[in-house]
Amino acid sequence: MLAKEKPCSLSHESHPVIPSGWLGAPVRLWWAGGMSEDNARLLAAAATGDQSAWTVLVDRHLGLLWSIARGYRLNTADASDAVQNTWLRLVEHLDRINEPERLASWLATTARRECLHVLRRGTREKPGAAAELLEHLPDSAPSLDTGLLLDERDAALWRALVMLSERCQRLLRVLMASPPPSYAEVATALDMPIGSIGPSRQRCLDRLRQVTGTDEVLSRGTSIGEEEW
Amino acid sequence: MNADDDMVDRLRRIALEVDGPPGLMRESALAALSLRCLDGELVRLVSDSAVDAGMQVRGADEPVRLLSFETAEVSIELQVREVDGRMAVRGLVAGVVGEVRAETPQGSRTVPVDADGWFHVDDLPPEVFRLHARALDGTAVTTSWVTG
Repeated sequence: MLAKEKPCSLSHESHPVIPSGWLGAPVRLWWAGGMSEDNARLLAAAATGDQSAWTVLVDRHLGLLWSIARGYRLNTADASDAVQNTWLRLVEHLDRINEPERLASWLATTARRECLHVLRRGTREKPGAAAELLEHLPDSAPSLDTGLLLDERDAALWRALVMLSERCQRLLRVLMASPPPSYAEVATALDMPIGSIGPSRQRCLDRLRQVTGTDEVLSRGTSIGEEEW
Repeated sequence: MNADDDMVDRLRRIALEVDGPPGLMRESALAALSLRCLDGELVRLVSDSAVDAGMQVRGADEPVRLLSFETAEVSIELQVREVDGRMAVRGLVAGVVGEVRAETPQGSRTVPVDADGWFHVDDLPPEVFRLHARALDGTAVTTSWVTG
């Protein structure tokens, strides 16, 4: 059994490097007005053990991290692991975040690594599977429990998502984070060039409209556009 | 606001309804701050076979993950195996005195280090752990978190 005692330490390791010069395009209103200063203050406060500052940081980014994990199609338990490990990394790095204004991108990068690590763990029994990891993710994830949705059109739209390519599903799921992530954060979360986010989003949404507009495709339930955006 | 923005907003609203972050996950996240402590020196992860090779190294019977941590004075080499869904760790330390403490978010356990620097910790939870030790000069050292 593990004894309950207060753990004590700090540590660091190679941490995500956020490329400088990235713009958080498109600029969003809630990033205006000193968010970076605010992040810096919150990080500094949390580093001294200020729980209320930590709570603000968690609540500000929880939706993004959850969406990233779900974008990688992790089930609830694995997604929770990946997100929790991301928080543990941040706790380790509270006084080492060089660019507080890019904290969300730092977290997104860390979350992506943790998701890939969890996925790799799942393929351990199958050597050689890792190379195909991203194109053949577990099917378990995006919740298809649309029973909560009163609007049948919303339910149809949600169900239609699984007919998109893996990459489209991943991109759209991250874009769905609340509050909405910047393209810079999405790019780091998915390891994509920032300039490709907008065009990819457009193609994936077009595809989604095609799918939802075609009853035949909906009822057949097959995946389309597997190789493309 | 164009049609694409409207569509993404609609998807976001749906996602919040049917696939929002679990409350328990938030509770765990809030508790994570308590795992921070300000004394001690880090032991840097310098290699991880799970990252370097993308896969585990094959041992005699089962996959073994190899990790190396270093500071100027301390080195920690780990072999991590999965046994019945739990983690079993065999380690070799240099520059460390006394014991090694394995920590998880749930608690910790202290194990002895033998004369040659070997120690082992079995039956760790599969998610995450780190190790805490004391360098020869008395400095506390801790590895970064190792995720299972």
